[in-house]
Amino acid sequence: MERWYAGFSVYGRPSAVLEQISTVVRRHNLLHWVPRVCWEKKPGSKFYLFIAIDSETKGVPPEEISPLLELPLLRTRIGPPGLPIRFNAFDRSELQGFVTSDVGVHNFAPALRRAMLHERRQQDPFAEPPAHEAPVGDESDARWERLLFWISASGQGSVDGLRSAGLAMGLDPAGAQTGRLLRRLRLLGHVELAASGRRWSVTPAALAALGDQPGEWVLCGARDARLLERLSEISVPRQRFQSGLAPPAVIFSGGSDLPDRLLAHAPELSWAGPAALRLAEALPTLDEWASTLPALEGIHAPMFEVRRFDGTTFQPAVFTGESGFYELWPEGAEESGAVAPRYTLYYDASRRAWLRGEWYGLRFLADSEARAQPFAYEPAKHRAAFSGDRRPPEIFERALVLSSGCLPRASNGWLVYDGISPRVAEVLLERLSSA
Amino acid sequence: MMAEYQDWNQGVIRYVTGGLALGRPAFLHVDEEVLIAIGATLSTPVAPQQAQGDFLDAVRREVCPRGVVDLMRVRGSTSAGEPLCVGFLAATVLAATWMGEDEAVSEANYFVRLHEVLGLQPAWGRPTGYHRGVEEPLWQQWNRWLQLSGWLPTAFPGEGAYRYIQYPISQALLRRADVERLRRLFQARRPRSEWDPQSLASALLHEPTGLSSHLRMLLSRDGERWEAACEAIYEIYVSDTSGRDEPGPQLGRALRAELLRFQESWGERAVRYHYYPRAIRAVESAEGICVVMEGEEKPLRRERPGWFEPVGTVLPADLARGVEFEIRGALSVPTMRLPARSFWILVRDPDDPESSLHASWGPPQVGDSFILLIRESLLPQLERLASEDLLEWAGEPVNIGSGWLELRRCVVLAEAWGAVFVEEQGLIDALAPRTSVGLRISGGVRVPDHSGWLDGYAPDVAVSGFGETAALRLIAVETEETLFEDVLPLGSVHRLPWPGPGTYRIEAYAGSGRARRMVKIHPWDVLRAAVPADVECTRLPDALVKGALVLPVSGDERL
Repeated sequence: MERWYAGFSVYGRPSAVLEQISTVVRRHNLLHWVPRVCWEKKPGSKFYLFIAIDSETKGVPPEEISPLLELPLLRTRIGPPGLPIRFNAFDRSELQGFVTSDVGVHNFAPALRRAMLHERRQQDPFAEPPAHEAPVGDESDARWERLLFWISASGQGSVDGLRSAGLAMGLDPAGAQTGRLLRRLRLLGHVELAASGRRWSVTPAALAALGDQPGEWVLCGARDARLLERLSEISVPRQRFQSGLAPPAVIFSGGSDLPDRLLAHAPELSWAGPAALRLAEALPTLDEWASTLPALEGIHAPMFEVRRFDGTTFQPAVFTGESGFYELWPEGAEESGAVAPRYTLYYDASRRAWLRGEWYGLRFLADSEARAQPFAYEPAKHRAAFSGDRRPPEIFERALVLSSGCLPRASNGWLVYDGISPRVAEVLLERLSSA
Repeated sequence: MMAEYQDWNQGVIRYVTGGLALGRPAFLHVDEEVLIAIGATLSTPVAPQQAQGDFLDAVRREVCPRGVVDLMRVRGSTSAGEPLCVGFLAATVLAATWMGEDEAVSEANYFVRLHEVLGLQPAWGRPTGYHRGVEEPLWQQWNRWLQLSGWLPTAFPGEGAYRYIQYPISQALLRRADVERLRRLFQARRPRSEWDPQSLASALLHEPTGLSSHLRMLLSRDGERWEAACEAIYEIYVSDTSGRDEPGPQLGRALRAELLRFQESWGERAVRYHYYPRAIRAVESAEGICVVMEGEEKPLRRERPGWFEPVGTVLPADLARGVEFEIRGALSVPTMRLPARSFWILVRDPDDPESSLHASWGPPQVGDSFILLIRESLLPQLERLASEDLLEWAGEPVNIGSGWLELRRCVVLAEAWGAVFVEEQGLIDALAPRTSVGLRISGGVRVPDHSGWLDGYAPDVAVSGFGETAALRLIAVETEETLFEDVLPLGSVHRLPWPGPGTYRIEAYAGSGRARRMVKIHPWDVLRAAVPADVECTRLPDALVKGALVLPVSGDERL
């Protein structure tokens, strides 16, 4: 290959001419043959341009660069007229003194303009979500229902993927309430979470008898429009709305034979029976539950800024090995502007282990007052009430929620659970109280 | 016993689309090797040496039994809704592959071959009965079916005298002469047996002799055709190295495993790599196929069209030497192979780009960031590319062990890479953009089977590229109506006016570059409750809890 320069008489500004040439060179991938250009010094509106060409024969441009040579601005060339196109081939030394320094054609390539991608920032699945529980406006019930259809069709997935769906559906506008969203779905019996906290799966469709209402059953778990249609052929359910915080509860009412008829009409449906009582009786004590929490290895408290839960908030503290609920922040958190702790864990002094679990459960574990008096119960009204900031671990709370098929109502700083039978209340009180 | 036309028709469709990820371009490339592979999968399998002849006989009986072309019998669709014309169209593509290397692309030369394919008396011009333009509705039907099924069409008319012959010629990735040349090259050079399509293509491109100008052009340009060409050449390569002493398809003698990277997103943010097997072409179902790892049979389960679920863990030490595992349950692919490479390009999930998941799904899109996993020895070359403002990455390289580094958040910055030389030319071939514009589809709510989005929650469209603006177009596939068209600044994200359920094609043009995406929007009632493969539960001392179901456990299941 030989490098030589082809000359042209062109009009315009050198930068504009070069940009046109660069565009064509890029478009047709000609840099291999057309690496540089130069032009006469002190160009006027008309000036001489010289394009460096690498080819087998001097003066004979390779066929590949014909798109470039067909540019109108290069129609006037220095060379013999006619076809095929030939040039008076110049050596670089012949042009010395007459032209500018060579400019690489690629130097005039336009910059990349890229649309930035907002990568989902994943959260500690056990971190506390923001405090407010505000519903997200009108049509949220319909959106919750759609989310449950989507969860059912997905079958299983990552918490990250669920967050994306919640965000897109407007149920979690900031993408920061996935933990709370998941917790509600678990309480209602629709979803289970892996021990790692990173994956979930939809639960089997099941019919559960409500706690204190004979003749009422709630649908839990997977569903689609077809299942609901088939069940409606037997009995049209009513919906009990959850203040926009969760999918509406689908409740069937009828005689004692209704569950059998529903189950016969929808073989994929399972019978959960008096689910609240069954779950309550299967629950361990709070301490036994705590003993099953996984320990996180490799945590050295001195490497973090430690904050300990004092019953109300997290306060800076020196870790002394005492059992408690802790936030572990990166060192220099304030200076670095860290907005969240690295870990939120319960330290069990008896096991000398840092335990990982859902936030409310760990807080309840650390809250001695809550353990002494877990909740209030009104036998006449079959109502239980927890202090709003003292929710029990999710699996315990689930027994309360399954009693009515609905999330608790917020009332004067309390969370009120309806439909709690005396037996369920008695068992839960026993399980949650301190030994 | 000869196979019927309908069998071949279905076989061709299954071959072209089987294992092809949704949204990818589909090429109706057919040659003798492809027909051998298809013939082995028919309900009555056809022996390799008879495959092409059997196919041609079936087509001839269907469209020109009396020496005159009559396309009536290949109009319409099968009972499954598949076009009946695909077998015939494949035959027209076969004719294009028979054109010689030195034959000019012209109607005259093409129709000589078509006469040959159809078994008609040699003649110039169109075969009798094959009137000008009669084939176009068939190509349009095929293109429409591809799009409604989720793939990009690649057959388009040409200009002027090339209008109709451009359809089959555009699909003929390799001509017969190319195949013969490649075979001679492989026999003479004996390339490494563990190569994959991209590394093989890169090596061929830098082969000093032996490639035709057609092949060289195919391998050095045009993103959509480049990937398909690499695959077609690779099929020649594996059939050549596999030998022909066994019945059945010679293609895909090893199941190819790519690399999937998962990173914990909080806590220690550990990185894990997994084997990520590609689906097998011409094999309909993954039922019963498993890979043997450490003495254990791990079933292969379909994750999304074109891919199996990740399996096993890849250690950095395995990357340098490549790894092979036994496959059970698939006669045509006895092993799964992770090739030995010196670098891997890990791009974002095309179905969920906002997630942190990366894998070697394909080349990076213009404007998108990716991860480069490289052998430490390549770092100086990458630094050279960075110094030329061709590439950048964020932060310092991360050492993952065994001499491998990760360069994170890499972005290709420039379009023109022709003036740079590095020792590992495969890096240039893999990284240099093949188009000047990139389209990214993100957000919305996807249908769980990766087939599209749900009505009311359609995705946003992001356009990146080299230049100032791009023309963006939204087209309804059913009617080919342009629903939206505008010139928009590059580097922007847009919410398009999706009218509701349907199949759409998005096109972006910047300079001579083009990017296309298929988007399918489904009504909500397509959703059906699924049974999870991995059922989570809450474990209690004496029970397993699945939502409202409390299931007692037996003695040995107790916590």
